[in-house]
Amino acid sequence: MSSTASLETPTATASQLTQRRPGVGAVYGVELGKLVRQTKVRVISLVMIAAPWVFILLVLHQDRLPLETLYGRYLKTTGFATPMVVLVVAAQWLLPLIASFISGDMFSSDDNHGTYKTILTRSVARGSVFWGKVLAALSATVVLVLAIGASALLAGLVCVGGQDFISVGGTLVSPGAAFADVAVSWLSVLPGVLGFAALALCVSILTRNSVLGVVVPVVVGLVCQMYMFLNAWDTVRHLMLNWTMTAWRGLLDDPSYTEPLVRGVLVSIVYIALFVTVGYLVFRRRDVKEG
Amino acid sequence: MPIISKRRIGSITTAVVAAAAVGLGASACTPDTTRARVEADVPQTFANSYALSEQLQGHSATRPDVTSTECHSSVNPAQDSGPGSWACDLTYTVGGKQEKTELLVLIDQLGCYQALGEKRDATITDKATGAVLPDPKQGFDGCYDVYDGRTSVSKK
Repeated sequence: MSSTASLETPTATASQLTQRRPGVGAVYGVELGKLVRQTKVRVISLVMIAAPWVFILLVLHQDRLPLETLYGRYLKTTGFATPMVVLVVAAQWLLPLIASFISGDMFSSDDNHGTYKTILTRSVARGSVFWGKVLAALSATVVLVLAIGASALLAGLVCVGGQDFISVGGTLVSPGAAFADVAVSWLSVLPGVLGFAALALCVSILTRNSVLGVVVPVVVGLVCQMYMFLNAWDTVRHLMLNWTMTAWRGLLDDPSYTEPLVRGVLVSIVYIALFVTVGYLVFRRRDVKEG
Repeated sequence: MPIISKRRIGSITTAVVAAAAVGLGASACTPDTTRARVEADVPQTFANSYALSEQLQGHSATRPDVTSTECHSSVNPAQDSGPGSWACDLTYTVGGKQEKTELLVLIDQLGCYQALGEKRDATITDKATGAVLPDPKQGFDGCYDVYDGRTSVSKK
């Protein structure tokens, strides 16, 4: 009996340990907690969320309006113009930076600290670590982008007011419909932003370098943005992540059109799938014994 | 024996790449900014902006009826296409009276533009807020669908 018990006990214990092995959810929670506790993430988030308030207050205290920017001429007409002007500027320069900043060292930080050897050989499956980290990076990016949008909308409504909105086509829109327009516009840039986040994750895995993980996607975003301003092949421009973040203009036009959004979402999905797949394959084959 | 041989896979790959290249090349020949798209969007947005101007000033939202539009690229006069500055001449009827306006349309690479009228510095007072604003009918923004079927760039 004692011999039977001594044989069964280790088996049961191993089984229980396997069952208790943390999954994607546990890794996701830990990684999200790590992100939120990072000082740089907190500072960047606060600055980005406060920026729309500073912007609209400065605009209201000057005579001239930024007429060269879409919706710039309506900044004093309706508060709903504030989140739209912020979106125009952010989609060009800031959103790729935010995505890179959050995701660029998601994998490489563990390389730098040499913690993969401990995590992967003892407690957590490699797939769980990968997907937990990816989901944490992508969800944090989404939350921050939407928080900036919400802050910009609130800044506009508080500082200017909730007057009727104006569509891209020059027609008046009721405040209720305007709220939906602003929300849809900010949601429509998320696939493109997630594309940049996926690129940052992929570079972070490939290079194991946090600086490159942040800098490479930012440089790629800047180069693409400069191409967007050139009078070069339009078809190439349509295949860039930056282009996908301009699709909201069609949704707010009168009459509206959705083809840019549909194509933009498809292009973004291809980029996300490509970068995540490459990252996953490299991460699966990584030799963690070296640290 | 594999269901599809390596040679067949190579042929399929070559065909797909060739088709993609042809598709890319063909679509690259169609510019985003065409005369047909500009002439379709500018008069519509002008009419909307005219009505918006009246509405913001507290008048009834009178929408002009644009009867003719002619736009030409100043940057690419050989073929009316591409971003840059365009000149648009509009004839419209408002309140039973025929009017004409000339717009300078500055088109960017994203399929959006800023149209400026002859009195581009004109302002109006928003009756609701009291704010002094640029007159929408003398300066307005617009965008057009770069994937629609209006690909004509021919000159009249």
